Amino acid sequence: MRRTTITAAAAGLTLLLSACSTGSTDTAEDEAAPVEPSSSVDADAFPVTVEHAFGATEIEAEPTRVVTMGWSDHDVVLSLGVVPVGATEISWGGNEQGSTPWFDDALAELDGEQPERLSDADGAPVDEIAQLEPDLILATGSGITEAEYKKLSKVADVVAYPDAPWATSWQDSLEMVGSALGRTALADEVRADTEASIAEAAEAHPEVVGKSFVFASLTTTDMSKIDYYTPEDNRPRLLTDLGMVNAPVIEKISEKGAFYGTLSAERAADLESDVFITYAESDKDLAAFTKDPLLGQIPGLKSGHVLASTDQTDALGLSAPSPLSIPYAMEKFVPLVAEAVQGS
Amino acid sequence: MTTTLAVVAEPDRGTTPDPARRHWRALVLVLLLAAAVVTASLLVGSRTISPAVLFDSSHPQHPIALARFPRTALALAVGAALALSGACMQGLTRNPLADPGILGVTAGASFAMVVAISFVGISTLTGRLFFALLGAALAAVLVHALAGLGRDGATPVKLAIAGAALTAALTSWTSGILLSDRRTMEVFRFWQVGTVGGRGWDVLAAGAPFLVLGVLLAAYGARVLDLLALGDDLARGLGRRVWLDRAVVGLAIVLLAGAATALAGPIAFVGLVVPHAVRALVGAHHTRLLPWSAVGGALLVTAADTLGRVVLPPTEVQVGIMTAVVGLPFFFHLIRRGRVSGL
Repeated sequence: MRRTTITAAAAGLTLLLSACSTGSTDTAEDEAAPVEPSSSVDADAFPVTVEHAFGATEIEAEPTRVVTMGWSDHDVVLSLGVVPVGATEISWGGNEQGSTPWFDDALAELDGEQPERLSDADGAPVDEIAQLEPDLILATGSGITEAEYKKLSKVADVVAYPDAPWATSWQDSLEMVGSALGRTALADEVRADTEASIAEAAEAHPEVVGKSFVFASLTTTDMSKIDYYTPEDNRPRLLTDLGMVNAPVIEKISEKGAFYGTLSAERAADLESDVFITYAESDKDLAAFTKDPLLGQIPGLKSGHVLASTDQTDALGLSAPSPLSIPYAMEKFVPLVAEAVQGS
Repeated sequence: MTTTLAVVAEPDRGTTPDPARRHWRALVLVLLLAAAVVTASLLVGSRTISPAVLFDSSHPQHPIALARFPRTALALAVGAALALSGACMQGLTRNPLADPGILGVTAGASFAMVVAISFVGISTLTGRLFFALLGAALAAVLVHALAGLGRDGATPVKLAIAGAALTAALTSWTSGILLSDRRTMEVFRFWQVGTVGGRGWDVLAAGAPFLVLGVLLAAYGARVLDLLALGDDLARGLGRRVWLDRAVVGLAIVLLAGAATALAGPIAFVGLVVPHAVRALVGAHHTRLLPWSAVGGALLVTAADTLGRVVLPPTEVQVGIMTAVVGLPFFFHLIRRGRVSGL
């Protein structure tokens, strides 16, 4: 009950904030939203072989029943005009159907049916996926293990992530899914549209371009540490696509192959950047961070160049970027970043 | 260590040579040690600061000192509470393997807190504390009831097994709730490993009443545990109301272990290691064992926390991991030596 109220209040606040700063963002939405319905399969698309971390998967004919895993593959599939029959339930930042606003909007435009939402809380739901009788399982942005890959391969063709779990860029996902669905030409178009929405956001908010940031995940329950996202994580990647730069200190301390790192809060003062971005549970958290003797030393917090994002849906749009979520994130999140850059 | 175990196996009460002098020397030694540990905890860490910074509020590193004062105080309090609780448990159950972490009390407190947050929507620290204490109490009773089944009653090994089983069950339930409710998981990540960092004076203040009450009850317990050690019949013959004494000591254990867990998360093995080490130094009399265990626990946790700040820069290793690194080998050593028949 209490939770719902806070979430609702946070969502309301975000809407209010974004409502104040519309303007040129409308056009971004108009361009990115309409998705070409089917028809767009390349000539001689099949058979096609897609390489990934666990080998190469050959897909012989156009898949008709696609199941997706991870937090963004369903978006990618839908952006190419294909409605998946099954997809991972979005338990964090999702709505009651386990879906997201950007997915539902695109689905409505295609007049599609909500895919069966499967929980991944207990690992890959192999049995439930098998019941959907898929002919292709896409997991390019997922975190499936090799054992799960082998089990899923007995159900249908599987395309896993290219290198590391949970670390695939939206561009790579789009390219792989485009090949697997035989829609590389459309994938190129979608990519161009998505990049255009980023470029437009950068144009609408020139104040963020060239600014350095630290993207962290602070928590009030343990203020002795600072979890930060490395330049290899999708959040910083999207902000650098926007023209921002990772703070030099983050470049220095980040380890290769890790998407986040942890810093002792005693080193908070080292986190020099133009803007500090963190997740927060509620609006009260920012006050707690600022008041904390250690975290309060984070330069961005101290100078008021801070964004504490309380809206999980917005946060998800950024953490699992896709051709569908990026326009949303550009519209909702970037104005907040711009505000934080200007300071309060 | 051999001495420890000999004392454990055959408590040689009252024949420690010249206890007064030993006591005195130990006191000086411990005071020096305490000064060293507290100083290190205030000065050493991910950023090492000079003593001048501690009281110079204009120094840029002063905030670090501000955070280390409550952190050190919390480490001292939690360490003392856990060791005291462990010593009471070992005395009460006459079980050398007794430790709030091993006998399920800590897991019970953790589980109850996660339930409180996830399902009941409790958000205040005091509210969580009550749930932690309730969980600790229920777990303690349940473990003893389980171990008491069967003909030979609650033997040390049966208690340890029942505790381990309940801990395993509660921990997996806790994980289950955390997995299915990511919001609670965000709030409660620290429940998987105990830590004393990142908490202010307010956290310690909220737990203080429970800790103080626990210490007072344990002080009462110190006098009755020696009598209880003679066996229930003899203690009854000496005019004790055995069930009342047991209940008081049990309540002290629950208050101390539950509050410590609520404040810092699960920290195991402190309650096991410290009383054994202290027993080797001051003997098995509970009037000496309990206060010295409290001091030893406070110093161990504070030292372990300080060490955890510097072993893996630029991050910190939580104190719950550090105490397990020290405590686990000791636990196996106790079991392997087979001296688990009773105190």
